[in-house]
Amino acid sequence: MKKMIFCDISRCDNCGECVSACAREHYGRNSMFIQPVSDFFIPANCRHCEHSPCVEVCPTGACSRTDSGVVSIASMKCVGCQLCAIACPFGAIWFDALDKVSRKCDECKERLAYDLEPACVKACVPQHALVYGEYEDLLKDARDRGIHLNISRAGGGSGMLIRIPAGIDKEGG
Amino acid sequence: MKPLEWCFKKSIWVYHVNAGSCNGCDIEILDALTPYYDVERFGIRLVHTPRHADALLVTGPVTRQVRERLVRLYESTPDPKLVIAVGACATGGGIWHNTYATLGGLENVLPVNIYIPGCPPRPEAILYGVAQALGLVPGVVAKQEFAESLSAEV
Amino acid sequence: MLKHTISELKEALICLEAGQVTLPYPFQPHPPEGEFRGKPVLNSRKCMSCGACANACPARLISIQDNGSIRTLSFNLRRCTFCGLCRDACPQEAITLSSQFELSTVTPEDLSIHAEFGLVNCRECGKVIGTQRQVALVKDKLQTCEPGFDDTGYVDLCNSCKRRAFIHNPALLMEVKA
Repeated sequence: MKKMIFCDISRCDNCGECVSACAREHYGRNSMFIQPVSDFFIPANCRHCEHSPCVEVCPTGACSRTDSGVVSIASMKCVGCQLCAIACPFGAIWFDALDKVSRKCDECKERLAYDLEPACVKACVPQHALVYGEYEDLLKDARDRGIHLNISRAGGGSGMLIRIPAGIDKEGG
Repeated sequence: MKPLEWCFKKSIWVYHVNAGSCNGCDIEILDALTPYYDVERFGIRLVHTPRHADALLVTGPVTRQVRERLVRLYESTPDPKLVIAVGACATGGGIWHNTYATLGGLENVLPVNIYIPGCPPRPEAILYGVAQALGLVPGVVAKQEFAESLSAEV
Repeated sequence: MLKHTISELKEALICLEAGQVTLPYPFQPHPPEGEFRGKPVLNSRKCMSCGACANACPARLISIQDNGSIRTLSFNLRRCTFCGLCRDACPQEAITLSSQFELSTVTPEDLSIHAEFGLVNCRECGKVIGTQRQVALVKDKLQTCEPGFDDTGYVDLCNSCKRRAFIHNPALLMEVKA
């Protein structure tokens, strides 16, 4: 099974290392965002949904899903109509006004080809909020550390597991 | 009959100016002079000096280098004169409309009487434009407008 | 000598055969060939004003401007090179290149297309998301695909509001029991 990113929101302190690592990996165009919500910080990169709205609405077939489960935008096919950005439920797709195409996280395809972890996970050294691994291993690890409650498999795909801390639901808006 | 119409009632002689064109429009102008299209039916012929000309046929986006020469050509053409902008570059600057090396179209330098857009315009389009300038045929192009709120009411 | 005369006679006969070659244009129409690319025409029923044509246009003659609650799409066809890239890029196939080539005009304002579309703003923060037609098209596509998305309420949120709001939506959250 494909590996995925586990994100523990309560550990993120908004240091921005993942954002700059993503920008370094993608020639200055980062698709990793950190959204502050009431004392916590939510990573807003692509969840690589199992049934992706962006793939459904793309009129040119630029936004597609590979066999390994990574959803990515082929920028040579993209015409920049921004339908995918409207359709994305997580706000992970942004419009690159310089190149006139939509861009999103591709889970560092080039790095995965060399069996490396994505750049954001590699950069998340100080806090270890992002961990990369197999689905079962991640859940087992979370259970061992006692943080197995409120884990969301957002989008239902093989992109991310997010641990949502208890305080966030009440105050966030 | 207006004085300008009276002046251009008979044969007009044109002087062709290349103001930084890529030669696409120039080749189409030459095509318009061949027996197949034959602009000499209307008494139009190319002349070798602006002092004999009634009309300037300008192609190209008007580069900085050529601006001074173009103005001198315009001044040495006897009045009354027509200025015809041929091609997308002369009409509105073409794909060089905002570069530093061009002045973005003929209208920024000279008063233009008729615009013939196209990249390059077909010889027929040039013929049509010249015939329109002579008052033989009407202009056919019109602005297209649309507003969503208006169409929703209808 | 005789040979020379005969060849001259042949040429004279060929010239007799040729007749008139000059086109009667502009007094009779001369329509162009089938694949000819003439003046671009916008089908304002299909257009959703997404800006794909503006991104593709090499002469940058198509401009998209958001002003208040109206998006203005305008074509300045004076510098159009009739390359057809806008037609190829259009996801709605709203732009077609007609066969009209007689575009000569005295007033260059005739060479333009001007269209206005209503915009949708984010329901939380008021930031512009897209035109009403874009949002309607996204909702329609999401509901008609197989299997459909039932909850499309998030569509009229901007990106940063979506990043905040998804944790309140159990359908998107999909909690796992570890």
